[in-house]
Parts: sequence; structure tokens; C-alpha cells
Amino acid sequence: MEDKKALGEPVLVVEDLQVRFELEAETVSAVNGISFTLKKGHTLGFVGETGAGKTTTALSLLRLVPHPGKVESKKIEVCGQEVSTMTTQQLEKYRGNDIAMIFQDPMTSLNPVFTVGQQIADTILLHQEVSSSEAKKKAEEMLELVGIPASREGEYPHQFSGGMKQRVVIAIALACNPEVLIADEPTTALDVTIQAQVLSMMKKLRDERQMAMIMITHDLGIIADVCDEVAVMYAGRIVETGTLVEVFNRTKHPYTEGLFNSLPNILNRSARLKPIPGLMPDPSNLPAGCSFAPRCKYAKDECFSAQPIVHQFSDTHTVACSAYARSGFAIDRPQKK
Amino acid sequence: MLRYAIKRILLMIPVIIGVSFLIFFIMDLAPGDIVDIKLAEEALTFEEIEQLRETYGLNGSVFTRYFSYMVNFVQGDLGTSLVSGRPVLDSYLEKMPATIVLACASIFVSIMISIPLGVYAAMKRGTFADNASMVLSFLGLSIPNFWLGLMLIIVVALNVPGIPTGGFSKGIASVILPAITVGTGLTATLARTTRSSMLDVLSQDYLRTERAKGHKEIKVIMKYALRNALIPIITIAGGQFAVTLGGAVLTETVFSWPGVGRLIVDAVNSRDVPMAVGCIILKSITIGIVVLIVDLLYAVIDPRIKAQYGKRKRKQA
Ligand SMILES: Nc1ncnc2c1ncn2[C@@H]1O[C@H](COP(=O)(O)OP(=O)(O)OP(=O)(O)O)[C@@H](O)[C@H]1O
Ligand code: SF4
Ligand SMILES: [Mg+2]
Repeated sequence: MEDKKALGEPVLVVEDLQVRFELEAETVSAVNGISFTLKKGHTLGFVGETGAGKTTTALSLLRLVPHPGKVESKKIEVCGQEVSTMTTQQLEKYRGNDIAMIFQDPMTSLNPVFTVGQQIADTILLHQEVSSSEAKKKAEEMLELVGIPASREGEYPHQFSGGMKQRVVIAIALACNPEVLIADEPTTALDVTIQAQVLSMMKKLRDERQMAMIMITHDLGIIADVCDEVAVMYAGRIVETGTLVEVFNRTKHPYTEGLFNSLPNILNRSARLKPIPGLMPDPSNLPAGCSFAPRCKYAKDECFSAQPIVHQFSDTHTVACSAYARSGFAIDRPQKK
Repeated sequence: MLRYAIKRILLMIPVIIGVSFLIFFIMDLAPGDIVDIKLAEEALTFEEIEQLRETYGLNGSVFTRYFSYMVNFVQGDLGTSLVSGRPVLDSYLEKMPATIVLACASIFVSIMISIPLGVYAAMKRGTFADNASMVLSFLGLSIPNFWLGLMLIIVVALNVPGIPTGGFSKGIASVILPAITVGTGLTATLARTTRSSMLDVLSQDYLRTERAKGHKEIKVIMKYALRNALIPIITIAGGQFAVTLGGAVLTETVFSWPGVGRLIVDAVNSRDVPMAVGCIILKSITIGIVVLIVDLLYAVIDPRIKAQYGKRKRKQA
């Protein structure tokens, strides 16, 4: 088999994505100029605190940002098609077929008055030339695939546990074999053992189907487990992006370092957790300079006045932090190979 | 669910007893009886009056009269009219077709208008279209039925040939104006209910899932959203339908519509106790059955409610 990593061609290219919610009293700048690329068979992880703009970024890829969100971009290209100029018909063919999304909350993501079988089958009916009995059969296969007995096809969401609902949501997303799968915190609503099951199932399906995947989470453990590349988001921007090894072992951005420090250390359990002090700035009132500056222990005057300078540490490893303009600057976190 | 239905039907018994006693009692309190009304029309001797009271069963306390009425009722005898001398049930059933036609026509008209209107208003929430349709429905709600009926007669029936001013003899044409008269209020209430229920549903996450599958927006709204919004809508529609089946008195009067509403009012006015009590019992039964059907419809629409019926059943077993 060919090495998928070497051969991966981009299925998703995003350039300068911006999303603003224009409310009456204020404008919420949820996403502020994000660019990234995703290759076939690869998984890109988005990490960041709550409100960083991860879900909004994902929704822009499906053109599902809710009113009053305004989306602007130089490019959102999925499987060679520009998303922002699609007609309604193109969009209906694209959603669910080329790209699918597993939504954040399985408890509310399923329609309470239709059976789970119907909810899977109707996607299949929509995108594939099949009869309704074939679609039903396929829906049952999808249920089996995610580890739910096909016999439960006729049951309603309220008859399922949270973990099973999440599996149904996954089955819906995978039903039409999308090129790109977005998983928005697919396991946060689940308890730890179920989390592991669902994750390993997703990895298996991804590998079997050679899907490109975006994994959104605030759990660095999940990132390490499933991702090839990582994008660290803060206040609607990507502050550090690189391969898993680069971001985890050669961490450069002070915010990424802060995320690692706020994790329990398995090797040294007595070490105290060091959560990042302060809160993310209000996205309706972002500071003029680096948005992390108020919380950054390396911040200098220039950080408060100007946007951070972008540094390229390798072809893949990019960091937006002005401190690297200072000679000999390094963060405290030790660099590994 | 069958158990539930049976239980609900049994629960109607105390309701019927209560309603019938109340009517009996109130009619007893009301000044005058049928004999007094007859007296106003013709001179009667004292003996004749006593004689009449005896034959009409008007002597004795309200309790003994109620009791003997109920004994007959249990045996399936709703009594005979003191005025016409015909069995109450026959008179009621004779008026029922006109009432059913009017109720069905008006609920049909109002559903066909109000649901699309309410859905549209919810989708365009806060826009001019939303406000305009809600102002319109508020207007519909505030217009008194009899006034609207009279206006329709003056403006439409007197100018458009083929549309009668009243009666039930000209087929479809004769039901148009009464249906609009009754339906206007219904439409207004239903449109507002549909709008608010849809607003709740439109913000739900599962609609985003449906959109993400690639469904057309119209399908997302009319299939996946509306089904979830239906419960309050059919509650209101069912209730209104039941009430109209009990007789739309004002509209029936304005259009000389031979329905049960007027039958009841006439019976009360002429102090025809068996007729009034019998009709009101039949009316309560009709309303009770319609409301029960609506309740059972909930279970068809929403599986979570069905599950509850199931649970109740298991507990009882
Ligand atoms: N419909 C909306 N109207 C107004 N503001 C919104 C809306 N949706 C999101 N936002 C704002 O956009 C910002 C980004 O939200 P988003 O949901 O993308 O964050 P997230 O990174 O997914 O967070 P979480 O980890 O909690 O899911 C937040 O400040 C949020 O308040
Ligand atoms: S630019 Fe300045 S404030 Fe922002 S992360 Fe780098 S050092 Fe900290
Ligand atoms: Mg989110």
C-alpha cells in the first residue's frame, strides 16, 4: 500500500476565513483570518478554549453559520470546489456527500420524532440512487458499523443512551462516505470508557475509508491519539500549527505551552497544575495587539500594540508570536526531538 | 394505548354526571319554566297548569327530577322535547350533519391558511412580513363572529350570485360564508400558535443536522421542523374543532344554519329541560371524544409521548 501521508493531496484548502456575528449592540469577531490545508487521509486537530471559534470555523466549511453570522474568505475549497460561491443546489449536493459533520452535542443533534433508521436512511436516499428499502438496509449496515444492532433501526433517539446517540450521529455523518469528516468534540458528552470506544471506532472508519478528518476538541490527549497535524486556536486565530510532533515536542507558542501546563503530568503527579491565568478576551472587543498578551508571561510592550509576527519554523510549523523576533527567545517548556 | 383510551372514556362518566346535574340545577334556578312560557301564549286555568306541570314532570325537588332523568338516561333514553314532543336524540342527530359540515369546513379552511402563515412568520421572524401577518391574525382574533358574519352577508352574499345568505340547502356554496366566519378566529389563533411553536423548533440543533445532510430548506422546515412543532398546533386545532362540533351559536344564528348550537339555545330559551340537558350531554360526549382523539394523535406524532402511554400501561398491568 502506498504511504498515505506522502501521497496525500489537499482535499480542503481554507484561506483567510473570517466570521463575524453582527448583533445589534456589538459585533462578535468569532473567526479572524484563518488559513489551513487538509490532505486526503489526514487528520487535523483544532484545539483551543471554549469560544475560540472552532465550531464556527467548522460550520463555515458547510456554509451553516447561523444568522447573523457573516462569513468572508479568500478561498474555501473542498474537493476542488469553491464553497462560498456554490448555488443552493450545489450546496445541497455537497453537504452530507462531500463533507459531513458530527455535531458537538449528540443529545440535541437527533430529531426526536423520527426513528434513527429513518434519520440515517434519508441522507442515503438524498445522495444515492437507491430505493427506500435499499436505503433502509444501508442504514442498518451503518448502525452495525458503529456498533449498534441493526434491529434497533426502528427505535427513536430517546430510547438510546448518550453514547449510542453519538454513534448514530456518527453513522449519519458517515452514511454517504464523505471525503471530509468534521468531528466537533465527538466525545465530550460521553463518559471516559465510552469515549475511548467511540474514538477508536472513528479512527478505524477513517483509516478504512481514507477520509480526511477535522477533529475539534479541547482535549490534548485526543489530539495526540488521532491527529496528524494540529492547529491551536485562540480568539478566532490559529496561533500555532504544525505536525503533531512539532506542536507537542517542539512547542513554540506561549499559549500552547500554557495548554500543556494546565494538563496533569502523568510522570510527575505531585507537580501542581498551572492553569493559564485570566480569561480569553471578549470576541466583541478584541485588543489591538496579540490577543493573548494580557495573559502571556512573555509579553512585551510591542505585543500590546501590534499584531504578532508570524514565524515559520519548518514547512509545516508556523507560529504567530512576536517574541521570536527577539534574539535567543525561547519558552520555558523544554524542546524534545 | 387501548387501555389509556378506555380509561379516558370511563373518566367521561363523572364529567357527564357533573355537567348534566349542573345544567339541571341552573335551569331549575332560572326564573320560569315551560308552563310559564305557555301561559304567556294562552290563558290556562289553574287546574290546567297543575295538570301540565304534572305531565312535564316539573313537580318535585330538583334532585328527584334529576334522579329520574338519569335513570332513563342510563337506559339510553334521553327524553323527549317538551316543546315538540320528539325524542331529544332524534332532534340532535338531525342537526348534527349541518354542524359537522360547518366544523370540518371551518377547521379545514383555517388549517390551510394558518399553518403556512405561521410557519412563514416564524421563518421571517422580526421582519415586516412577520409583523404584518401577526397584525393580520390579531385583527382576525378581535373581529366578533356575528359582525363578520353580517358583513360577509352584506358585502358578499348580496353581491355575488350563487352564494346564499343563509340556510344549508345550496351545497358547498352555502357553507362558504359560515366557514369563513367561524374559521377567521380559528385561523388567527392557529397561526399564532404555529408561529410560536415553530420558533421554538427552528432554533433546535437537530435542524442543523438535517441541513448538514443536504436537505432542501423547504423540506427541513415542512417535514423535519413542523412535525416537532405539531403538538401545540393540534392541541389548539383539536380543541377548537371540538367546540365548533358542539355548535357555533352566533354563526348559526346569523346564517340560519340548522346546527346543534341553535338547538341548544332554543331549548334553553323555551325552558325545554330534557332537550337542553340531553343536548348538552351529547355535546360533552362529542367534545370528550374529539379531545381524546387529539390526545391519541399526540402519540402518533411524538414517540416520546407514546412511550409514556406505554409506561403507564405497564405500571397498571
Ligand atoms: N449565533 C451566534 N451569535 C452570536 N455569537 C456567536 C454565535 N455563535 C457563536 N458565537 C460566538 O462566536 C465565538 C466562537 O464560538 P464557537 O462556538 O465557534 O466556539 P468554540 O471554539 O466552538 O467553543 P466550544 O469549545 O465551547 O465549543 C464565541 O464567542 C461565541 O459567543
Ligand atoms: S506575541 Fe507577545 S503576547 Fe502574544 S504570545 Fe507572543 S509573547 Fe505572548
Ligand atoms: Mg464548539
